[in-house]
Amino acid sequence: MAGQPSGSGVVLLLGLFLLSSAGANSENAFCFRCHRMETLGYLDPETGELVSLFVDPVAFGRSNHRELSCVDCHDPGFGEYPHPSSLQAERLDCRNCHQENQELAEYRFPELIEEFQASVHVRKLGDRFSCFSCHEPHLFRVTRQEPNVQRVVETDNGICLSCHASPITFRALTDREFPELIRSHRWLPNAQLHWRHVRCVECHTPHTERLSHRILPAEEAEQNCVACHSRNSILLTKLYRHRTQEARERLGFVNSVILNDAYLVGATRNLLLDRLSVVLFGLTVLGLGLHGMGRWLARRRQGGR
Amino acid sequence: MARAAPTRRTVIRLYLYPLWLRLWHWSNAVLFLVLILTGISMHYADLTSPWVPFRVARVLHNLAGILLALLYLGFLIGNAVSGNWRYYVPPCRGLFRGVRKQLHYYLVGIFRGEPHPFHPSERSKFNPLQQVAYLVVMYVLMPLLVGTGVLLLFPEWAPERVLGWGGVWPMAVAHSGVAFLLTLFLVAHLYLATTGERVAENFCAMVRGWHEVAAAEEADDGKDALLDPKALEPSDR
Ligand code: HEC
Ligand code: HEC
Ligand code: HEC
Ligand code: HEC
Ligand code: HEC
Ligand code: HEC
Ligand code: HEC
Ligand code: HEM
Repeated sequence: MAGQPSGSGVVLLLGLFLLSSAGANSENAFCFRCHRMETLGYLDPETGELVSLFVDPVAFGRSNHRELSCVDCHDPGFGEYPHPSSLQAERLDCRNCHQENQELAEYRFPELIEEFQASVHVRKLGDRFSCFSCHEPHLFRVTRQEPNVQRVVETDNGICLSCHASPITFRALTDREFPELIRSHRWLPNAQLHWRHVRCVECHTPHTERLSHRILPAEEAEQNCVACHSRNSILLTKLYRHRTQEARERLGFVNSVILNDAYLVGATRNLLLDRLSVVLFGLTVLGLGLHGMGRWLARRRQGGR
Repeated sequence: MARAAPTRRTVIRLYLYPLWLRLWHWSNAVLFLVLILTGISMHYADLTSPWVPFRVARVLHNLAGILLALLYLGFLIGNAVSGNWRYYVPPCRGLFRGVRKQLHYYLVGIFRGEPHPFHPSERSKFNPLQQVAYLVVMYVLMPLLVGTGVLLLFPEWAPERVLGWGGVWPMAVAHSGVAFLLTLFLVAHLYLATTGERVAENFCAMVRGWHEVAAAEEADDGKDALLDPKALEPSDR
């Protein structure tokens, strides 16, 4: 994202606390003394923008990395203040730790990283794009652990919108003209409604068994309504993947999980009602057909009057 | 014009369906067919579906739905102003017996060539079965259909929660359910309209407005004989 602070241009916006000695176990508390201040930051000398150094302790305590201490990821050298200037070049990456971590095999990091490398963002922007462009390392929390679908959509779309609804952030990465989302999605009715109920990645990634990190070029994005608005909605393998099974059984409705939060035309059906309606309709037509035939036969017998 | 006493060849012509009613009826029928087709297309949407493409179906369904709602308002107003609504009010007594009689005709009498138990007249143009069916269809099911449709179009008006479930989808289920019942009605309605003296008779009546009744038979049935003399015209056939 925005450049790393260069040693000479650092401007502190807020006064500092005096350091007191800290025990090894209270490492995080030590760091938070300064980094929990929302106003801690500096102006980037290159872009003139404010770079925040704030780390929210509450959000960090909820993140997937809450068990880690700051210096598990960051160089232990940060234990000193002023931080040694040599550490400013520190370049962290999810890959450093997760490329071959067997414990986290279920997340399939190696595959995920390949997909990431093939995404439009990396293909077009190269090094300017990293895992952290989308995942704030201190807040990162996988959404499969979040039961509220509405909140999942909000969080995940917030990721994309942080650039795609913000011309300033967008232009910091590319010279391209900023595409207005509303105009690019004019073909989609109730676009705002859709964005509240489905994620950008639903349409902008290939329909693989697991959510892919390969963001497709715009031309390849899903434009077919029936991809979602049908019984085999892609949403079942994407947005609702981790929630489908139990809810399907609860109400007897196909896709009742979608139904729980919203009604999705074409996808929310009750198999029993569907079958019942076909049978009833068939019986009605059959009954009337037989009746008609009876009338015709009766009339013939009565001499064609 | 000398008025002849009714003979076998005399036909009584009743002006049962005024122009506004016919216009309502046929626009209603066309919109209904569009709504059924597009509604099914959306409900059974699928990548391989042979029906109307989803995007087109949605636009058509919304358009036809809005028109149908307006048309229904027109129907209510037309009925109120012209007094046509009176035909839909069932009698206080004898309705049950009437329905039974009509059912008996459809299930038995019609195969034996018996005459229709009821004939349309200026006073009551529907037989008891029609009366009940039309009353339920036009004053119970149609308002439900239009109401739930409007709520689906403007979901922010839907009650937040119905029976502890989310507010929109009970509307959608009700909408499909009522639409299904009305589709069944339409099929039965179409078929029963062929049970006149001639198969095409009722359809012609709904097109031209005039219903023709063979007067000689009519005279047998004292109950319905209260006819406007102006409606008595010698047939030219
Ligand atoms: C006394 C306050 C204070 C404490 C305690 C503190 N920091 Fe900092 N930290 C700062 C300030 C001020 C900066 C701004 C840049 C600089 O001065 O190096 C900063 C910058 C940083 C940066 C950004 C470096 C860069 O150039 O991108 C990291 C990472 C960081 N601190 C990590 C930590 C960690 C980890 C701890 C705990 C082990 C910690 N800090 C403790 C005040 C503090
Ligand atoms: C899972 C590893 C991890 C842990 C644990 C971690 N950080 Fe970071 N932190 C990072 C990464 C990666 C970056 C660089 C982000 C980027 O490049 O945008 C970073 C950047 C920072 C920065 C620079 C400003 C910013 O937000 O980009 C500060 C300050 C910081 N961390 C403080 C902390 C503190 C304080 C803790 C302990 C509460 C901590 N970090 C724990 C991975 C971690
Ligand atoms: C410095 C090493 C390091 C870096 C960098 C790092 N992680 Fe982790 N991460 C860990 C460790 C260690 C764990 C195991 C934590 C535990 O077992 O509770 C972990 C756990 C996770 C988990 C699983 C959490 C759970 O509860 O199952 C996910 C997902 C994850 N990290 C994603 C990321 C992402 C995404 C990034 C980059 C934004 C990242 N990590 C960067 C070390 C790191
Ligand atoms: C273009 C934005 C973007 C980039 C870049 C990105 N991700 Fe993600 N990532 C997402 C979104 C959106 C999700 C979906 C949220 C979820 O399910 O947790 C996600 C989910 C994840 C998950 C959870 C997957 C699961 O199965 O629950 C992990 C782990 C992850 N990302 C790691 C990474 C790593 C590692 C990188 C860098 C190689 C990276 N991400 C780069 C957007 C991004
Ligand atoms: C850090 C900022 C940032 C984030 C976060 C981000 N994007 Fe982008 N995205 C860009 C930039 C910059 C471009 C323009 C790349 C170019 O063409 O030069 C772009 C381009 C695109 C394109 C158009 C590619 C084309 O064919 O023109 C799509 C589609 C896209 N992003 C989808 C997403 C989705 C979906 C997410 C969320 C998962 C997301 N982006 C998150 C910055 C971002
Ligand atoms: C229903 C599917 C769908 C959803 C949801 C969706 N998109 Fe798209 N998006 C598309 C399609 C299809 C295109 C290509 C349109 C075209 O080529 O005319 C597109 C185009 C784009 C572009 C390229 C714009 C341009 O003009 O170059 C960006 C950027 C983008 N989408 C971002 C997003 C973001 C961010 C979100 C979430 C807020 C999102 N999309 C949600 C289907 C979707
Ligand atoms: C990525 C999946 C997805 C795609 C693709 C998609 N939709 Fe939707 N659509 C949804 C979801 C989910 C909702 C439910 C919103 C809600 O809760 O009301 C929805 C709602 C709607 C609604 C509002 C219905 C209502 O009752 O509120 C309309 C209309 C609609 N979609 C039309 C379309 C059309 C037309 C297309 C194709 C151009 C399309 N959608 C493509 C997922 C999708
Ligand atoms: C293609 C479809 C349709 C055809 C061919 C058709 C045909 C007819 C015919 C022939 C009549 C006059 C005979 C009779 O009284 O039974 C009639 C009357 C009537 N139809 Fe239909 N119909 C159709 C659709 C509908 C629909 C969809 C509705 C309502 C939802 C409807 C409601 C009525 C009503 C209420 C009357 C009585 C009108 C009055 O006299 O007040 N019809 N129809």
